[in-house]
Amino acid sequence: MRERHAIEVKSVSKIFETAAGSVQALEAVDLAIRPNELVILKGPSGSGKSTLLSLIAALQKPTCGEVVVENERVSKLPDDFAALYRRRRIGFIFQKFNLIPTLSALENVYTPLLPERIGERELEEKALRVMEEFSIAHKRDERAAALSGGEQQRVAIARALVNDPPILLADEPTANLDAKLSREFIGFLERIRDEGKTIVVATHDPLFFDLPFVDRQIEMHDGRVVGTRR
Amino acid sequence: MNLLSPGVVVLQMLDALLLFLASIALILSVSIARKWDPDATTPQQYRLEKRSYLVATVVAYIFYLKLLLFLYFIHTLDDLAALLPGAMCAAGVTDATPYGTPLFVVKILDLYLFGLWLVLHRIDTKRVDRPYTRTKFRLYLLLFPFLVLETILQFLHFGAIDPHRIVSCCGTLFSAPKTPLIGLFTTLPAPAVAGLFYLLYAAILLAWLRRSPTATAISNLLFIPVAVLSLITLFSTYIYQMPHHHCPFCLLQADYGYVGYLLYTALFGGTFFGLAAWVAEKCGDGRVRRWMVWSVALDTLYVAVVSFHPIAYYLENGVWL
Amino acid sequence: MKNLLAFAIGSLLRRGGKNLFIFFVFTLLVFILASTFLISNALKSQLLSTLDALPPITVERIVAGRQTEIDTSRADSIAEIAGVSRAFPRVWGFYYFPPAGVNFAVVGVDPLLPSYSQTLTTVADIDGERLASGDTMIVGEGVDAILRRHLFDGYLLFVKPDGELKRVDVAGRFKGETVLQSNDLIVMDTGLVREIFGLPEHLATDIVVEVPNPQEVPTVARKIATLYPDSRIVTRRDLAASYHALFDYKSGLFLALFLVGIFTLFVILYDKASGLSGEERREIGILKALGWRTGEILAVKIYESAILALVAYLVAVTASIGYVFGLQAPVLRDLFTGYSALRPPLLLPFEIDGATLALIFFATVPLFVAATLVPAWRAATLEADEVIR
Repeated sequence: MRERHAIEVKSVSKIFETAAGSVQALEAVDLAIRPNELVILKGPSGSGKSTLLSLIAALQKPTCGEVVVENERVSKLPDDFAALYRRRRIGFIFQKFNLIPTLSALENVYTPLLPERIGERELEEKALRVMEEFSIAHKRDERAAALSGGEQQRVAIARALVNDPPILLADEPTANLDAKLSREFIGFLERIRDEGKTIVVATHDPLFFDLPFVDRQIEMHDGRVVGTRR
Repeated sequence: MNLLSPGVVVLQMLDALLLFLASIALILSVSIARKWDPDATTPQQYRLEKRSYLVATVVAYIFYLKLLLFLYFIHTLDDLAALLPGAMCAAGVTDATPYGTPLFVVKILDLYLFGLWLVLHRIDTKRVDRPYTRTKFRLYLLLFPFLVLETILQFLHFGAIDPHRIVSCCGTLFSAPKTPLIGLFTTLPAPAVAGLFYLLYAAILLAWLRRSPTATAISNLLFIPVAVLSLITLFSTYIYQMPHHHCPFCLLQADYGYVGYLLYTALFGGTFFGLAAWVAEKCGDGRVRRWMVWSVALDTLYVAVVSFHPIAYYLENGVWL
Repeated sequence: MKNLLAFAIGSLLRRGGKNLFIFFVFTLLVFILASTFLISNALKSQLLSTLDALPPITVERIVAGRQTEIDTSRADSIAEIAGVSRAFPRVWGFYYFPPAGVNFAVVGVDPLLPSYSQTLTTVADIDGERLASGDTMIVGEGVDAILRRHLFDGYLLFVKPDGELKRVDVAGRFKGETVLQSNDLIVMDTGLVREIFGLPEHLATDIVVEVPNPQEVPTVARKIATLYPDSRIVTRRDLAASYHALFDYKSGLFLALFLVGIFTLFVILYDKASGLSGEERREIGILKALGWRTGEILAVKIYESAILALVAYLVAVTASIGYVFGLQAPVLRDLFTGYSALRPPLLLPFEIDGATLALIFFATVPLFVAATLVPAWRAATLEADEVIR
């Protein structure tokens, strides 16, 4: 019996053309992630973890192979539809948070929803609800640039969840955080996981290894999957 | 150009601008029409995808600006009437050169063409597989010459207007038309004209009730010339309450409550959506029903407003004109 | 769409500095254009309103291509033409005043005609005693000022064609609001005018024809032309058309030149808009990563420039209205009214019509938006992957 997979990566390769020549970021990667699984992608920088995440998010297209998310071939989607897919079904937490510095915390959180036909009041409601879950609602009107690192992290998480996506992707989420905030983040992660989301975290932070609620650790090196641990 | 009125300068300048933008879009369209391959993941395909956005943006810009400009165009013609001996309104100015009437026809045609292109574009981009992209850009290649034609005609028309030549006023223009077809229409007795008009309207209603977009499109298409001609020969006389005032431009003036704007907007909107519905059906898009409703609604509005005047006149005076 | 619009406004406000310069320059340009048109229109409508007072038809006699005196008996024949209610000769001319180097317009009237005496008091302040006491005239403000400046206090010594002097006293002055027509005007008894210009009884300067029904004017004009082939017939409509044409030509010319200037602005605008700051690029990258479509980002960018253009237009037009009608257009106005040696202190009447506003709009805003189309597209089609690193 075949289980339904949330994310399937089938023989995916990604080659970048740079000024210095071609760079093979991923080579024949195969991966299958089940719904509600929490998967850690671990490996040194340059191992292709970030690229893999961006392919799952349909931010880029693979050079060969395909990416199937919830039975949809997202690697084949034209730009417009890829964007729609992203904003409705993916929540992404970036390494550098990537908040828009001149917008307020609240505005940052509901930015993904702006192009949808949602009224202003509903936008604020949704945003505030998520922000309260992560205790950041009290900073709603402050400009993102004025927030502390930990506060920005929480805004970034809230933004990733405001559209209630089934899949959450995080790229080195603790790279810019101290130990205390990193542990806090892990706490958030557990909470999100309990809500039934599928989560993929790319990281080389050892705090993530050997966590009890992680289902699988996938090790990557030089663009290939080199090991799996449950 | 012996006519340097500011309105004309602005119109010519904007026409040149639109032609320039449209030419850019043309060059891009050629490459897209030739090399579009939705299954390809090459950088070339990505470039084409990006370019298709630009073409669509340009066409949208041209269309909406033209809509606005059309009214200003008529107004400028009206203004020029003060300069031309004999002309009392835009009709005389249009007739001042042999290019005037064709210019009008092409201008209106362009509005329909560009608008319908945008409709096709909307339908195309809603579908993942973008089935009509190639067709879309091929069609643009057909559209472009009409814009060129319009620009040339406008340039020739304004260039040829001679403030020293006497021009007929609308009173004579519309009573003694030159082409035999229109002449046939104007010599028809009033009940025949009205009959044809309402018959077509009934066809539109029937097409809607039968949910047939093809019938809607055909009846709307026929409705355009019939409505215009019946307006000129019959209904306008009731709006003016004068049996020999047929001018389609004087309706736009304040004396008649600017009713012309309402009429022409409703007529354009109704017929446009009727044609758009047919396009939607051909492409299997879901908006067929909605557009057919809008089409019927606007057409009905037109018919209602235009019918109001003769009926009111009759009720007031007990006789027809 | 509403959200995107709000986002565009917010975006403009957030990035105020960069847009401020463009906004300011564009507003200035629209301001100049608007002011020019408002002034020109005000003058034109004033001029056209003076037309209403003019006779429907004026008949002059042309000999060897120049205007010469016309026989007063012609008025009787013309009065017989169907459609003509009245035809009467006028005596008037220009009197050159050497000390100031200007011409006064001297017009003869028959003050005994009841219509004249009534209207006269409404447009002029008259010293009744003086008027009755002999050779008197009523003058416009400009004439009055010049006479006094050259030490003719309350009178003028006219030099007749035979060299003799004729003293005429000022018995009244035209009121301020008639200044456009009356500034350089002198009105006196017809007999006096004839004396000053040496015009015999049977000749006049031109003949005025009253035609109550405007539709009949062209026909009457033609008949007069047939009757007297050596005459030039000027109808009110001809004058209106020539005023229109003159103003249109001048404004059209100005506009054409102005557009060349504005084109330069837009090349600059295009260039500026094309350059995106690092922060803007990041923002677009983030938006795309969050799932904004290219079309939506494009819409925001175009909204930004459309809003900028529209607000600038509104600000410029409002400022222009205040400048032209409130402040009476200092500096700019003199560029327009410099065509007469006697410069009347004109009051520009408050008049705005939708057509002028539309003209200014179409001459400016669409160009602005057009210049930003390609830059907006370039911005919206940026790749998002830089953001991920």
